[in-house]
Amino acid sequence: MSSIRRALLLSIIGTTTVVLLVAAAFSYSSGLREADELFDAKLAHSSRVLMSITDAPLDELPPRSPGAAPDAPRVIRVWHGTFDGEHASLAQSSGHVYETKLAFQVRDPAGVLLLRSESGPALPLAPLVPGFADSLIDGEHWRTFTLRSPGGRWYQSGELAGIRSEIAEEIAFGTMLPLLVALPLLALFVWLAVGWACGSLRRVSDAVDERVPERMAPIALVRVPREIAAIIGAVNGLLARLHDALSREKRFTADAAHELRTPIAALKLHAYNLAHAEDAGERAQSQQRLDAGIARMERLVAQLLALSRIERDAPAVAQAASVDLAEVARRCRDDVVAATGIDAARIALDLAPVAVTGDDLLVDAVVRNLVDNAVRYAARGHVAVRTGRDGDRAMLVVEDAGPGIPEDARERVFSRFHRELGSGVEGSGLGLSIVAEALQRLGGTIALDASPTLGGLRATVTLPLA
Amino acid sequence: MRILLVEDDESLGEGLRTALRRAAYTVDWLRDGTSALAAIRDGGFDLVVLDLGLPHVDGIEVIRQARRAGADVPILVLSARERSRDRTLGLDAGADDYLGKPFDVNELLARVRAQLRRSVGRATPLLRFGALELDPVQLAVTWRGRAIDLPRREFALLRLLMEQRGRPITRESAQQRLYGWDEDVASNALDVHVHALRRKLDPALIRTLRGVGYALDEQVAQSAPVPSAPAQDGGAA
Repeated sequence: MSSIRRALLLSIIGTTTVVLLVAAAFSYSSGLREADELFDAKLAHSSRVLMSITDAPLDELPPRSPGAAPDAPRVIRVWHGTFDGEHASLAQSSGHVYETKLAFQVRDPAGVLLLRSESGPALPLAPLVPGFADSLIDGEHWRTFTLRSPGGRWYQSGELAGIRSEIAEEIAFGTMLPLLVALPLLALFVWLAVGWACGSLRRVSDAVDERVPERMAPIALVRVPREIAAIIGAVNGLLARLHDALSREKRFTADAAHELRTPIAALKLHAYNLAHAEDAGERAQSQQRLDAGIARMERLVAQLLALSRIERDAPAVAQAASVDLAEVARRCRDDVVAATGIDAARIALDLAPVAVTGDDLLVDAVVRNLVDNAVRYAARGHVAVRTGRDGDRAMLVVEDAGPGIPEDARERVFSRFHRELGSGVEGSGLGLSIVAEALQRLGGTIALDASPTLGGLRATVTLPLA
Repeated sequence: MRILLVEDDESLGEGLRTALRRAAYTVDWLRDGTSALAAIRDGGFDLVVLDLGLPHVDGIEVIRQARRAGADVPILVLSARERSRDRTLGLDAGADDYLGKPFDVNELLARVRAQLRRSVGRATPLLRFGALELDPVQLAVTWRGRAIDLPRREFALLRLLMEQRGRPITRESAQQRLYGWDEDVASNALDVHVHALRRKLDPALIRTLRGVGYALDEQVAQSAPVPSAPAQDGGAA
C-alpha cells in the first residue's frame, strides 16, 4: 500500500536536496571564479601601484656602471599577512587573512633585473609579455602580471597560485555554507509538517473507526487542515444520513411491533372464546371473528412486508419498464373484488390505456392500496377508477363514496400507522404510506381532495409517461 | 358486577366483551377517551378495563382526570405499551393493574377477579355465605353441599348478593350492575331472576325488603335443609 507520508517525505526532501546541492555547486564554482577575478584585479593593481611609486625614483638612480655585476639588483622587503617568523605579529595585526604573498620584479627595457622583492624568486617570474600568465618556478605555480612603463621598464608582480586557490576555495565554500546548513533544517521542517498532516488523517481514521451503529456522533473538527475538514464534513454527512436511516428503521420496527400487539391480543381472545363457547351460535361467532382477525393479520403483515420491500429494494428495481396503468387498475380491481367478495359492479372503471415508466411492483402497490382503501371506506357505496393522460403525465383517479378525509388531515394520513378516528374501518394505517413511498420511487405525485361526483375521497395520481 | 370496557379496536373489543360476558359480568363497551371519562365520572361500574391508545383523550389522561374527579373504581389497563416505563407511568397515574398486549386471557380474567375481590375488601377467592358457596373461577355454585347449575344472569345476581354479605342491595343498584346500556330490560326482569334463584335454592334465602331492595338471609343460609327435603339428613340451627 502506498503511503502519502512516505511519498511526500521522499519527494519533498529528495527534490530539495538535489536542488540545494546543485545550487551549492553552482555557488561554489561561481565563488571560485569571482575570487579568481578579484585576485587578478588586485595583482594588476599591485603592479600599477609598484610602477607608479618606483618608476620615477628609478629614473634618478645613477646609471649602472658597465662593469658592474649584473646580479646585484636592489632588494626590497614587503610585509605580508601570511608572514611566518619574526614579523608575524606585525603582519597579523594590520593585515588581512585574504592577503597573499606578493613578489615583485622590475627590469630595465633590456630585461636586466633592477629591483626585486625579497619574497620572490630571483629568476624571472614570467616571460616579458604584458598581461597575465601562469608559470612554474622551482616547482611552484605562480600567477603573474606583467606591465611595461612608458619608459620601457618591465614591472612584474606575482603570487603563489596555491595560496590563492586556497583562499578562493575558502571564499567559495563560505558562499555555499548557508545552503548546506539549510538542507537538514529544511528536511526536519518538512518531516514535521508532513507528520502533522498525516497525524490528523490518522486521528480522523481513528474517529471513524470508533463509530458504530449505536454511536453515530459527528466527528469533531478540532485543528485539522482544510482538506481533511472536507473529508470529515463528507463523513459526517454520511454518518448523519446513516443515523437517520437507522433510526427510521428502529422506529419502524418499534411501530410495527406495537401495531402487531393489538391484533394478536384479539386473535388470542377469539381463540379462547372459541374454545370456551357454550353453544353453536357462540362458537360460530367466535370462529368468524377469529377468521376475520387472521385475515386482518395477514393483510397487516403483507403491508408491512410491502413497505419494507419498497424501501429496501427500490434502488435494485429502478430499471424503468413500461407498465400499462389501465391493465394494473383492472387487475387490482379483480383482486380486491375477489378478496372482499363485494359486487364488482360497485367499482366503476373508466380505463384508457396509458403506459408509464417504472417498476410493475411499485405501480401495482400504488393502485392496489388506493382501490383497496376506497372499497373499505366506501362501505356499501360506489368506487370509481379512471386512468388516462393529462398533458405529459399519466393519470390515475380513484374516487369513493366514503366519508372522505377532512382537509386538515390530508397531510398526516400518509404517515405510518396513522388511522383517521371514527372511520369505523379496521385498517393497518399503512396503505397510504405505501402509496406515498412507492410514488416517491416512481417520480409520481398524489393529491387528495373531495370527490365531486361520489362525495367521498378523490385521490389523483400522476406518473411519468413511458 | 358491571365492567366498563374501553377499547378502540373493534376486533379486540368484541373478543373482550364476549370473554367477560361469559364470566357473567355485565359489560359496557366504549371506544374513545372522552365518553369513557364521562362514564367513569357517572359511576356505577365495579371495574374499568382500559386501553391506552385511545382516540380524543389518551388512556393515561383518562385515568388522571378520573382520579382527580374522585372516582375510586378499580382500573385495569390493557396496553400495547408494555415497557417497564409505560407500566410505571400507568400505575402512577392511578391505574390499579397493568397488562401488556398481547395477554393471556385466563390471566386477564384472574386479574379482573382479583380487582373485584379487593375492591370489596375480600381476600379469599371463594365466596361463602353460610351453606352457600360460589366459585367465581369455575362459575360454580354449591348450596348445602349440592352443586347448582345457574344461568349466567342468575349467577351474576347471586354473586352480587353474596358480595353484600347480608346487607341489602337496592333494586336500582342491582339492575344497574346486571344490565348494560345496550340491553333492553323488561321492568320485571330482576324479579324473574330473583324468583328463579329462590326456586333453585331456598324461597326464604333472598328476602325482599319493601322499598329498599333485596338481601340474603343469614339465618336461612346457615340453617339445615327445610323439612320439604326429607331425604337429606339435617337438624335445627
